[in-house]
Amino acid sequence: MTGARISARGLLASEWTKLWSVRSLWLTLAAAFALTIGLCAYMIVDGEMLGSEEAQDIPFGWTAIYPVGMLVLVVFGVLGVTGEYSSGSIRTTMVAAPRRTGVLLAKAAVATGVAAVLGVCTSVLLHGLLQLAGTVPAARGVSLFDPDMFWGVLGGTLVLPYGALLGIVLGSLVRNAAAAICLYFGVFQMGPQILPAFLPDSLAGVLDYMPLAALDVLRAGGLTSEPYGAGTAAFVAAAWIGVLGGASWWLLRSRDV
Amino acid sequence: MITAEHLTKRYGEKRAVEDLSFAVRPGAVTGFLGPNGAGKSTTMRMLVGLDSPTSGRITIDGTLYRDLPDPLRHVGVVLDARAVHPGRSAYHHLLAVARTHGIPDSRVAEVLDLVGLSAVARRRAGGFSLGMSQRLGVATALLGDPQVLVLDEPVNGLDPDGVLWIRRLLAGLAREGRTVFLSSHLMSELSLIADDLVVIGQGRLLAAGTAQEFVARAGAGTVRVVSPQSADLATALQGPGVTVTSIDGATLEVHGLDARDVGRIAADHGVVLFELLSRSLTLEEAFMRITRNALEYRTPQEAAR
Repeated sequence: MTGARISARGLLASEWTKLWSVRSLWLTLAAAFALTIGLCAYMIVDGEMLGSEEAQDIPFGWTAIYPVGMLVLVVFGVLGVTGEYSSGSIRTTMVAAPRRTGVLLAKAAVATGVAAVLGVCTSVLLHGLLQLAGTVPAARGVSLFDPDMFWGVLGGTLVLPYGALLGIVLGSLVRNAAAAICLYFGVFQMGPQILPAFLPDSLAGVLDYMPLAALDVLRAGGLTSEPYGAGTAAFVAAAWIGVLGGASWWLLRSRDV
Repeated sequence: MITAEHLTKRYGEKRAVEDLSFAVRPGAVTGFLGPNGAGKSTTMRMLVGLDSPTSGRITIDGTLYRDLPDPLRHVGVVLDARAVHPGRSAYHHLLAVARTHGIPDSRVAEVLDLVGLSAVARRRAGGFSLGMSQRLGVATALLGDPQVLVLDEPVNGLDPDGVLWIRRLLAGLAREGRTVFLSSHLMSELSLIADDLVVIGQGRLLAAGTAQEFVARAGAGTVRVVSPQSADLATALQGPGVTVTSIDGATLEVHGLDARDVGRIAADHGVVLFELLSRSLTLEEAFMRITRNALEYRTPQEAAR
């Protein structure tokens, strides 16, 4: 045991172990991807895409379902953090890594990394199915790396790890599952629909900078630059994580556990 | 060596720990004693960085716990038994903790053996009894083979079997030369095992030192004397700082004089003695005497005693 000490690798390994050793946690993760794959596969085989007529002409149209998976991944991220607080195991965690910052980073890295890898596999699998089924004329014979396909699929796939990361951040911020999930639904999911009623018209444009609005731009794969381009969208999405993550990091460092 | 220097923790107006300074010497068992709510848990939580002190500091060999690159190898803590995710098995709980420090997986099996949980290691910790959870807590604390062990109320709520187990384990760890710092509100529990005592009440230090010093500090013991002329003797013994209580017609209990003085006074007054017995305070009595003034919550009857 000589030489045993806290390391980034150790913290990652610890979070990895935690993720796979609680059934509710990996079941939530599995459910997110089973749901995404199941719904998309049905749509692909059926040849029916979400939305208007034009949607049929978008080669990566099936990724319109990904936000459903993202929702479940937000819950997954939240549970990954709040489960520790509700069970009290957070005290064991913080005694083992008293500087705390590394724990938050490792937790975020593991959840986001796992969701990203599974997300990529999901997209590759569904693209393959799309080619096999041949039900979407616009996508027939279009390689995954064709720009018409690639950017849209990439943007769609990104929302999956983004959801997990947002869940981790919100969970760390409020430390309680119900509160974090309500916060997500209230502010981020429903906020853009409800808030315009309460905001003066001059401020309504602010809602374009909510994270889901930015993700919508990314998911469009360059087909639209309304209200801003993909670069700005990526920045907006990252800035939300940066600000919320920074706040939860600061609270984690300063609050007693 | 654990050292607290002017350690203070306030929650708003409420003072949990106030200007607390003490040292826990290495290689000894130190009992951390105080009534419920005295600030024992808060002090221990500050020791391992779960709570931040409002001012002052508490260190391990001069270093803040937070600044140790390998805290688990220096200090093992059992703060409360329920610091485990109920859905995770004992084995995976330990594995997740071990991995933070790169402690080999084989050590997990070792500590499971050490606390007797190997047979249930793969069962979810949520189904564990308090005794089993306490064992898992101890196993977690021992993972890094630390020189210092800190336990908060380790016998609280345990059945007699569990109490005996903890007591033997701590005695064994102390024999290996480890520092054991354990809190309790039960003096009787600590008197069996502690070499040193740190006593606090309402967050303040009341006494610190060896168990013997502690008893001496609490004041002199009592002298019990049996005499057929107890009323005469009681009158003769009166003096400043002396209290004489009559137990029954023949027996007196004397505070403030030692047996030698009582015998001499009796002889001077020609009083016949049947029995003369001096008794020092037990740790329990010394604890009661020292903490009585510091009790925060008590009924009027208790206060009047």
